[in-house]
Amino acid sequence: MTHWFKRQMFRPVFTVVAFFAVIAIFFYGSIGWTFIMSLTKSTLIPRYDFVGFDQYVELMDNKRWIVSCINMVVFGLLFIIGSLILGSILAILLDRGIAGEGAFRTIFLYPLAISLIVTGLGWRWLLDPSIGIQAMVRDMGWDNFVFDWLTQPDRAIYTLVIASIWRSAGLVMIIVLAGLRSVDGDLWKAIRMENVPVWRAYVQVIFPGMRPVFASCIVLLMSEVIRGYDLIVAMTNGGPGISTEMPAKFAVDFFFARMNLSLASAASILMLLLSLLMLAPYLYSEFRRRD
Amino acid sequence: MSSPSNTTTMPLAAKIGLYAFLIASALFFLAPLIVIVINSVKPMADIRSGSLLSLPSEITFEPWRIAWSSACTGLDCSGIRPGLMNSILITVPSVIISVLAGALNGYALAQWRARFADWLMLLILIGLFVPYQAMLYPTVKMLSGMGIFRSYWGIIFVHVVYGLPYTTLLFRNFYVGVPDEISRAARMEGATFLRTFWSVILPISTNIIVVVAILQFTGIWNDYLLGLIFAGNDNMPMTVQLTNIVNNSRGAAEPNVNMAAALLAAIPTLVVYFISGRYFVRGIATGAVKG
Amino acid sequence: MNTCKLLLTSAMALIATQASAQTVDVQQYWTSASESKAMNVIADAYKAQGGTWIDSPSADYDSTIAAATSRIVGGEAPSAVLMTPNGAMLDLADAGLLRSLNELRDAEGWTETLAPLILDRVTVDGDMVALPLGVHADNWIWYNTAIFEEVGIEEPTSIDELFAAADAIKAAGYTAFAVGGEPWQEVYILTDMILSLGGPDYWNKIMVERSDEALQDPLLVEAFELFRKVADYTDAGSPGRSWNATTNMVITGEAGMQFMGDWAKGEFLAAGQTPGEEFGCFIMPSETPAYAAVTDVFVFPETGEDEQVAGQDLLALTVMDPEIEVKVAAVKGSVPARTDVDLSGLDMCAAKGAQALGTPGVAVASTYDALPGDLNGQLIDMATQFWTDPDMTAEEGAAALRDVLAD
Repeated sequence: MTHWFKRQMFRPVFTVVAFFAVIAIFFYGSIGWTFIMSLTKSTLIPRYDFVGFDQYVELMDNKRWIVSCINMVVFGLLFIIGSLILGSILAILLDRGIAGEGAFRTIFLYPLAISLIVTGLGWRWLLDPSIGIQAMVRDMGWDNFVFDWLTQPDRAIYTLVIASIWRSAGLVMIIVLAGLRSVDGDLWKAIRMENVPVWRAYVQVIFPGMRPVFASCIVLLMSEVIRGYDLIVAMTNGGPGISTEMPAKFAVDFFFARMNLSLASAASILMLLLSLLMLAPYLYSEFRRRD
Repeated sequence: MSSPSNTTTMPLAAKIGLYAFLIASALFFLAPLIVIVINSVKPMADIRSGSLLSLPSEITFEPWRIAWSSACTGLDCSGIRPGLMNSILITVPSVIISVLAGALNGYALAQWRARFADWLMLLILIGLFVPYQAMLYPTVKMLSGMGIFRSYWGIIFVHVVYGLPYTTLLFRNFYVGVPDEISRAARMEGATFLRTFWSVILPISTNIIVVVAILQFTGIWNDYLLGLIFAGNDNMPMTVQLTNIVNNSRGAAEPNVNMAAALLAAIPTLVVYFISGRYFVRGIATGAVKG
Repeated sequence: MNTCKLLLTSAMALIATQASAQTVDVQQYWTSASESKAMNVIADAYKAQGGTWIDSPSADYDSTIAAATSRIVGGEAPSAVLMTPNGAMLDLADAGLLRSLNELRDAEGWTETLAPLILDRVTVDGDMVALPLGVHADNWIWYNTAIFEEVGIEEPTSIDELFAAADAIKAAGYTAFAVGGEPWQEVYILTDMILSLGGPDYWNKIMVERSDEALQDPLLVEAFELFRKVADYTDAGSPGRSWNATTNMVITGEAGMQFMGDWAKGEFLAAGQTPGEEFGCFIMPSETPAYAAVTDVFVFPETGEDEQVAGQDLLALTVMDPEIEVKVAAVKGSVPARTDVDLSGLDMCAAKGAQALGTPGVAVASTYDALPGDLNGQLIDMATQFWTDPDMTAEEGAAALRDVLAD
C-alpha cells in the first residue's frame, strides 16, 4: 500500500488530482454556494429561504443589468482585439535587441503596477473636455477640436476601451515576448534562408506555432473583461448615466453596498455562464487540435 | 544566432520606423503617468485653481512626504510607511509558492495526455471567471474552519489558491509547447515525475517563470480586498493604507498626496519589472533539447 | 491619612487593572484628515479611561461592511462597526447579530436627550442597536458670497427665489449651479426638490411608508421638472466630475452654488475659507422646513467576550458623552445627535443644522438612511438615467420613481 502510494506520488495524475481537489473545494465550493444563494432571498447576510429562480427573472428585467451585458460584449471584443494587436507588435519590436529594452519594457508594463484608482483619475483628467486633451489642443489654436467621448453616453465606453488596452497591452506583450524567446533558433535560420518577408514569417509561421501562448493571453484578457471593476470605477463609475456599467460592477455593487446578496449571486452565476459562452470557440479549437 | 533579424542588420529606414513606433507607443503609455507625476509635486493651491494639466507653479515634495509618513489612514496618521514590511512579507512567499505550485500543476496537466486532463484544465480555467466577491463568504468559512482566518499564513494561502487557475494556465500552455523528448529522455534514465520536473523542466522554464512571477507579484502587491479581509490587523498590507488615503469619499481630497502615495506604493513593482529583463533569455528550450 | 491615601491608590490600581481588560476592535472608515481627527477625539477619551483600542480602518462604507460581515461570518466579529442606520443595520439586527443597548440607554436616560428622529433610527423592534456619533444632512446648498454680493442677491428663501438667484448668477457669466457627474451627487438634487415641495410629512409617506397613493401625487412630476431645469445652469465639464472638484468651483468663484451635504464644508475649510465670510450655507429653501439627516453610528456586534463587552460599554459611554459629541461635531463638521448639549462652539452652518435637527417635525431620514441599500441604489440609477437622458420627460421620471419605490 505505502509502496503503491509512493509510486503514485511521482506520477502526474497524483499532482493534478491534489491540486484539483484544492481548486474544487475553493472555487467550485464557492460556485455551488453562490448558486444556492441565488435561489434565496438574502439581503446582506445569507438566509436560506428559497424563492426559486425569481432573482434571475428580476435580473432579466433590470435595465442596468441588460445594459451591462451589452456593454461587456462591445467592450470585450474591442479590448481583446486591441490588446492582442498592440501587445504583439510591441513584443515583436522589443524582441529585436533594441537599445533600452529594459526601459521600454518597464514603460509598457507600468500601468499594471500603479493603483488603478489613481491612474484612472489621470485618464479622467486627460479625457475631461474642459481641462484635458481637448482643452490643450484648443489652446494650441485648433478651436474646433472636439474630443469629449468621456462625457458622451454613447462614446464613453470607448474611453474605457482605450484605458483598458493601455492597462493590459503590457501583459500581452510580456507573455508573447516570453513565447518569442522560446521559439527554436533553427526555425529563424530556415526562415531567413527561404527569404520570406519578416511580417509573413510572423503571421504564417511563428504565431501559429505559438497558439498556446495566445490562448493564455485571450483567456486572461477575457477574465479581465468579466471581472474588471477598478478601472471603470475610477474613470466613469458607470456613467454618464448607466452608459458604461459592466456585469462585474453590478455584482460588486449588489453584494455589499446594495445588500442584495441573492441578486448579486444570480449575476455572478450568469457571468460564469457568459464566460463559458465566450470561451467556447477557444475550447472548440483546443479540443479539435488534440484529436 | 537564434534571434529574428535584429537592429544591427536592419536597414536604416526600418530602424528609424521601429524606434519611432516604440517612442510613440511609449508616449501613449506615459501620458497618464506624466499627469500623475506632475500633480504629485504640485501645491494644493495649484490644484484648487483647476490647472490640473499645467506645470506646477512651484515644485514641492511635501505631498510625497505626507504620503509616506503623515497622511491619515484611520486613527493613525503615519502614511503608507507602516504597511511596507507587511506587503513584502506577504508578497514574496506568496509569489514563490504560487509559481512553484502553478509550474508543477501546469507541467502535470501538460504531461498527462488524456482527454480527461483537458477537461480538468477547462474546469480550472473557470476559476478565472468567478468574481472574488462571490468567493468571500465561503472562503472565510473555510479558512476559519482551518483556524487561519485573519492570520499571516491565511493571507498567503488565499493568494496562492486564488492564483492557481492563473498560474496553472500560463505554465500548462507553455509546457504544451515544450517538446516531449525532454521529459521522455529524463524518464528513460529512470527519473520520477517530480525529479524530472525539478531538475529538467524547471531550469528550462526561466522565461515563463519570470512572466508568472511578474504577474503574480503585480497582482498580490496591489491586492486590497483580500488583504483587508484575510490578513488580520497585524499583517495589513500597504494597499490598505494606500486605499484609505486615496479613496475616502467624503473627506477633503488632496489629489497631489494621493498621486504621490500611488507612485510610492508602485516603486517595488517597477523595480521588479526593470530587473526581470535580465532573466528573459533566448533559446534555453532549444539548447536543452540538443544538449 | 496615610492609610487613606494607600487605600485610594490601591483602589485606583484596582480600577486600572479592571480597565485594562476593556478592549474594542473598531471597524471604521473615517480615514481623511478631519475624520481621523474626529475619531481620535473619541479614541483619546476612551483610552484615557483605560480602554484599549484596536483600529481596523478601511477606505469606505462598502469595504467596511464587507470586512465587518466577513469577520462576523468567520467568527471574529469586530466589537464596534461604523455605519449608518440604514438597511444594513436592520439586516444585522434582524439576524440577531447586534447587541441591544437598552440597559445603557435606560440607565443613562438617552431616550430623553437624543433627537427624536435619531432615537427612532437607531431603535429596531424596541432595541437600541446603534449609537449616533453625529448627524449630517443632504439638503444643503453652498454658495460663494463674493458672487452673491456681486450680483446683489441674498440667500433665497423659496424655490422661486433660488432659480431667480441662479438666473442672476448665470447672467453675470458664472456657472450658477456646480454639479458633479457622479450618480449619487445627481440624486441629491432630485430629492432636494421632492423634500422642498412636499415637506417632511410627504417625504415620510413616500420614503418610509412608501405609500402608493402618495407616489401618485403630481408633485413628483413638478420635482422632476425642477430637477431637469437645474441642468440649464450647469457647465459642460459636469459629467464624471468628483464632488470635491465641483465644490472647488464654488471655492474659486467659478460657480455660484452647489447642492451638497455638509461634508462639503471640510473642502472650504481646507482651502482656508470661513463660513459667513468667503462662503455661505443654507438648507434647501422650502415652505415647510425640512432637514434630511444622514447619521453616523456605531453598532456593537455580539462578540461573546467579556473583555470586548466591557470595552463596548466604555466606548458607548464615551461616544455619548455630551462634551465628546460637541467636540466630534466641531472637528468633523457635523451636528451633535444629543439635543441637550452646548451649541455655542459650533460655526454658523453647524448651528443652523443643529437648530433644524432640534426642531420637532423638521428632521427626516435622508434616502441613504431611510431606504434599504438596494432601493437607494435603484433610486440613484433612476435619477442618473433621467439626468443624462434629456429625452426622458418629467412624467416618465415620476413613473420610474414610482416603480422603484412602490412595494
